[in-house]
Amino acid sequence: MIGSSVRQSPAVSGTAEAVPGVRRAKDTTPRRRSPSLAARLANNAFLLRLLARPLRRFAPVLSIGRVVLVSRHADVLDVLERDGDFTIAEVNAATMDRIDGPFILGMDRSEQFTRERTILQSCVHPSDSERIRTFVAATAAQLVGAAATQGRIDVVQDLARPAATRLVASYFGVPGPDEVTMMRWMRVLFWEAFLNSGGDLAVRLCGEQAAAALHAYLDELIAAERAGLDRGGEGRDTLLTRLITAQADPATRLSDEGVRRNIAGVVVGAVDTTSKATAHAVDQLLRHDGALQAAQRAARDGDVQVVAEYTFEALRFNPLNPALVRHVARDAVIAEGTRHRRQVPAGHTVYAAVLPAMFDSAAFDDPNTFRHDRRPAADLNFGYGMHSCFGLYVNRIQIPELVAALLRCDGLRRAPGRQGRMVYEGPFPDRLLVDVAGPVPTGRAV
Amino acid sequence: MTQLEREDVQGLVFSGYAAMHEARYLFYEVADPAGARRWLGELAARVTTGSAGEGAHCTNVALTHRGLAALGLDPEPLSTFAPPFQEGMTTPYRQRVLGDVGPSAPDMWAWGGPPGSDSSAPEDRLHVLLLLFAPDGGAMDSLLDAEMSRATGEGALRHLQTLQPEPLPGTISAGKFGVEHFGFADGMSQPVIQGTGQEDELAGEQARRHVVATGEFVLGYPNGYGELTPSPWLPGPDSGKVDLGRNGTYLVVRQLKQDVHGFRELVRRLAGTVGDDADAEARFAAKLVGRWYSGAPLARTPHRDDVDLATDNAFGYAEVDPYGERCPLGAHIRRANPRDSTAPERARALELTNLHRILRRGRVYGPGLPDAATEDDLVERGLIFICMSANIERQFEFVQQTWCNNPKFSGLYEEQDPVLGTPPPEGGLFTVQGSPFATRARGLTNFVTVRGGAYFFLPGVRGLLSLAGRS
Amino acid sequence: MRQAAFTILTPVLPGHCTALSELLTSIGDAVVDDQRLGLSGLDRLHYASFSILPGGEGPRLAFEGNIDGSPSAFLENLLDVSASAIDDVYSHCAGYPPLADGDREPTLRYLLDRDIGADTFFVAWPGHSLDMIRREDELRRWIQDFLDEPEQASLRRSDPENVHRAVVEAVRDDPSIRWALEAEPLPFLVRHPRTVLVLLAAPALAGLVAIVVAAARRGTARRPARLFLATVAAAAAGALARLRAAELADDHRERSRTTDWETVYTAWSKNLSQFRHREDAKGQNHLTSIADIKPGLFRFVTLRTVLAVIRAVATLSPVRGQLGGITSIHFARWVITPDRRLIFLSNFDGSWENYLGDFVDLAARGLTAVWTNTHNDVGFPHTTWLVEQGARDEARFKAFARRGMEPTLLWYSAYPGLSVANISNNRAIREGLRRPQDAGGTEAWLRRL
Ligand code: HEM
Ligand code: HEM
Repeated sequence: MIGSSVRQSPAVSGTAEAVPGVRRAKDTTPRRRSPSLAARLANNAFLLRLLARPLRRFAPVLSIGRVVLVSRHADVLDVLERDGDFTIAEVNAATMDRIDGPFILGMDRSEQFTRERTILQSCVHPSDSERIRTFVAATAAQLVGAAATQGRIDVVQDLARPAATRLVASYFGVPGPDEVTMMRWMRVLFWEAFLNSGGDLAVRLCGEQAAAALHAYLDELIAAERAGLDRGGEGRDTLLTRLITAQADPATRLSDEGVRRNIAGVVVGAVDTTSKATAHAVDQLLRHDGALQAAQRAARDGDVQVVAEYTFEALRFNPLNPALVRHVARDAVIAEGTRHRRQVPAGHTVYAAVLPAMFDSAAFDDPNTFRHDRRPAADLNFGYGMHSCFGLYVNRIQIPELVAALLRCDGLRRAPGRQGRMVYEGPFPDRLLVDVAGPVPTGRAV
Repeated sequence: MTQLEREDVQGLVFSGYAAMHEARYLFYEVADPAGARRWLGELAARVTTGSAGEGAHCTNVALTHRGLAALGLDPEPLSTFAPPFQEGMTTPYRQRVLGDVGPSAPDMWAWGGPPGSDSSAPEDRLHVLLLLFAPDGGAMDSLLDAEMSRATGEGALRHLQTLQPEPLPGTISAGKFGVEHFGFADGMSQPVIQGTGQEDELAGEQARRHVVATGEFVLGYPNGYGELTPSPWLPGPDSGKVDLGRNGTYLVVRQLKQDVHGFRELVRRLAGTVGDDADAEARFAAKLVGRWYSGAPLARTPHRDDVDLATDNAFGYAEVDPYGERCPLGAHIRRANPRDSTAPERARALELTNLHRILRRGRVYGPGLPDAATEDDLVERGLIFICMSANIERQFEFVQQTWCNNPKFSGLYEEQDPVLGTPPPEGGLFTVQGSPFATRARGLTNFVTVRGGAYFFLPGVRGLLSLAGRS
Repeated sequence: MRQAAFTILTPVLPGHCTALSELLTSIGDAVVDDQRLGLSGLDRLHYASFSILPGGEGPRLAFEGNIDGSPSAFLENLLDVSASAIDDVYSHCAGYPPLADGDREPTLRYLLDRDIGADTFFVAWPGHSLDMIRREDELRRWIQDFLDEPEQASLRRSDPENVHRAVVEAVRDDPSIRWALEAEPLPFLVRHPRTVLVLLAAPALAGLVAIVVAAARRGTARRPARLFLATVAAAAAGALARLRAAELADDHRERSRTTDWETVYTAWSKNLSQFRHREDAKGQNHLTSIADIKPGLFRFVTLRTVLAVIRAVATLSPVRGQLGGITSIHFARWVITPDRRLIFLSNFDGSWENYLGDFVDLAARGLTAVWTNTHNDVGFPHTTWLVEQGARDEARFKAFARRGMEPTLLWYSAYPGLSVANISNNRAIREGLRRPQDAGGTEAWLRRL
């Protein structure tokens, strides 16, 4: 197996050499600290929604120091659409470089961005949906089944993280040396890549060590996959092997490093986002009793489509990120032609606040009500514009399937008392405990 | 802001003429001042400017200070040109500034050397530089014939020497000119001049990092400080002044001989400092230059070459590599343009370094050394380095002196640009920063020798006409 | 040990300029090996220079010294070593008592009496004695050589803490370098001038302000206190108005000049070659410059005030090794001469172009505030509100600065191979040997090697 061969072989790449063995031993997740006030606020969707209303109303484009907060739906779309004025490289490129190498999420509109995003897209096949659905449904059923025997399930650790990690192994084609290591790498890297804007040194160090280890691992994995493909028969069909196969055609040829950069970027963005989104969706459903019951019915009826509607509406109440960050590349005007028009000077940072935007009554009828049948186009859960989520086709299937597997359990409810509260580690839900009476034996109908 | 008068600016400012595979640089001496002025006046109508397309071939012309004097310009206007241009490249002071010592000393130059040296086109006789560009050999031959007879036919000019760069490779991708003799892709990083329209073609980081004020490269427009760089002038009617510099710029030409065999030897000898894997040699070479052979920047891909990043120029150092662990602090491109790493605040640092940019238009000369060569074939090869800047001291000389040749650059102690420097006889030092501590590669030798050089003035079309006495 | 500055200004005897300048130049051309003045043998001398400056009553010789300890101790030492060379030099100067029977006392008095010190003296690394600077560089080399030994190759794969430990052990094992492990702290006052100020002066000042303000509110002293505050405000407004008036007068003079500055500078620039004799010969350079202070008391007082502020900021700044953001100056000083001229002497890393570029890019305001009070025939660029514009006019400022320069006839640097950054890096290596002090811990310390 690839995983074990990687673990035992000596380091091969320059990276691994740069990180001596002794230091690798210290490679752990950042130590847990009591969250700062800002972090607590960012994790508290209720408070944010409360703040959002006066914000939208009285200061739709709020400028504090070098930061500009945009909270109306139309303005958020506008900011995310104008990718020449509001750019992402200053925000993400350096961290992407540090942990992975250039990746689309750190690139502004350019030939390279279009090329690499197109190549990634071209490796997604129409039949993948069914494959993902089958795999996730089976995995979820198995994980829920195993945990339910205890009567209590941790949505994060028992379900979402392992499920997403397994999909990464089976569909994206990156199993990691072992599941636990893989989960740790993903978390540390995602944290460093997208959420360590304060440049916390401990996080950075962990991130760099995990990056070096993942780098070395992927080098071997890619070599092994390529060898397998060359031998013919043995080839597996994963996003990774497709990227390798696509190298045969000059139009879709990524360099060898390009294959590594892209698969690493995709994979790092896949695990902790999914687990956070799943936890948030479940948490919100548990807060909306009526919705919960309707969703449970749909799940038991095998109507995952309806479960999906409930899931993403739930996510609206607490999305992955309350805001997306952009850099003001040149002097620009936000909300041109309105009364709250505002000039923003180059060099400032814009927060396109998607959470407030998704409660803007100009775009959502009766925004404070939980309604599963909303127009999906107004939904900013997965970003918007040229950087909108590449994994959307996976998310549409995976997150609802994970939620559905839980919903099918009898007697689903939040664990009582303090235990039932969602616990964060930094920006990630680390624990969300729910109690069940026992799983529904079969996947589909009762 | 005043609109850039493209039609008055010579085309070399806007383009390296990548479609013109052939180039010749001809040196002339003024034989008959009146005839030479007439020739210049006629040439003004033919020079390639920034407004028209490149056409069937391209022609540009530049003059030395001695050349202007030989054309009959009075001492007063002559003294209004930039001091380095007036003094020339061979004074002892400029030798120190440019590091032209030892084998690179002007006394040994093939052209441009001080009066009385063995140079074929010594400084005092080197007056005019005619730059000709054509798409292929045939077109170049006929262009050469025509221009040569116009210049020398009636005895206006005397031909001294021709520099002949190698033809560019057949295909040119993404604005790259191809590969210099050590084997590195070259020409990816250039400043983008505001007002040329080129800035609109760039997006994102790249545009923000490389766009500089028009006046940094064209006289007569606000420079990086928002001021006008002093520009030469002629006394005009009514004791006024005629701006001779407007739409002109200064051109630096240096013939740099490269010891390719020596470079390869060294890379082989010292590759061990950066690892013992298969990529070690390429990695060590990349550490010296700051980009891999393909052009991919070390700051972006520190461990391995990545051809998809070959033309990437949107990177900085401050955030990803403040200590040089990816791209060494002393690597050629980090010295030649330290980007955002020169001051604590990134945006300000970028502004400051962009006050020291040069527009490079070099082409290689001499046949390549075959990859398989096991010993030096003793054929001369190298780079005809051409660059432009409105302020020679603050741009070209600054880059050469304060960044490339400065042993103290970036807090270092005693090393120079590993590609350009002239190391001491006992061998030069090159520090490769790394973890847990830096590696010092010792025994660097001299790879680049200056074989000739001069400062020229590249006038605007109206400036040419004024010089010809036709305005 | 404290660093001190002396600036000895002595009138040159009529007709002696050429001979004196030839003498000094000949010593200066080989200053390192020179035995006559023997500067390289003096263990308290960082930098020294001689130049001949124009003055109201004819040219004067300026002797600049940047030293450890007091000028009198240093000069005594200098006379011990090279009394006859000093005698040769100063025999060209007015009022000099020739050396008789080896009695150096009159010479010493002569020199000390004519030392006008410095109005603002900048030292990049206060407290770093020459001896310390040299030893610490030796230490840096020693450690680097140690790490580069093939036998230490295994350290490259080791933990930073292990590397540090190995270095410390090696240093301890070598008696010639073992001194480096002993603490050699900089004087408290040098390290913490700010703390001292905050502890002593700030409360006093704050108390004073509070008392005056409180008094102005109510109580018996209300009237005088209010009057006092009003006077301060009026004085400030008056000073600003006076400043603008002076600047407008300058602008007016500029408009009515007969030849523009570019022409003046172009004509003068033929003199540039005399500076270039030595400029950029090494990694460091020296700058001697002199300018006339603009007429009138106002400019004089303003200049003095600005210099005092710069002095305060430079001493109190928490970041050492920089003057207004410029990180290449080892020692610099401004001196106001009795005949209303401003001398500026600087010992710096890198080229003139770089140095002046830094002035414009990093420290334009501060330098404008100083030099806008002076002029020469190029003229200082148009300035508003003391600090605005001015030096930002790059071309003219550089021309003004060039025009103000005088050739340095003799210049000595005790460590031409060490930049300002090198010295502090060496210091941090030394300090970190005992305990890494950098924020990034041992890893950051190792990065310095
Ligand atoms: C299979 C799992 C996932 C993969 C492979 C994935 C991948 C990606 C990639 C590659 C991008 C960058 C696209 C670009 O720059 O062009 C992206 C952006 C984004 N993704 Fe995902 N993603 C996944 C799951 C999720 C989930 C679960 C969420 C939220 C619920 C999410 C929310 C977003 C958002 C908001 C952005 C836009 C970021 C911005 O504009 O700043 N993603 N994703
Ligand atoms: C034979 C001599 C030389 C060789 C082989 C050489 C090689 C290279 C290479 C391979 C690059 C990277 C390509 C790029 O970024 O566009 C480069 C960049 C550059 N070189 Fe040189 N070069 C030489 C001489 C010089 C000289 C004399 C100067 C000027 C003083 C100079 C200034 C630059 C600059 C400014 C850059 C761009 C750096 C950046 O913006 O990142 N080079 N050179």
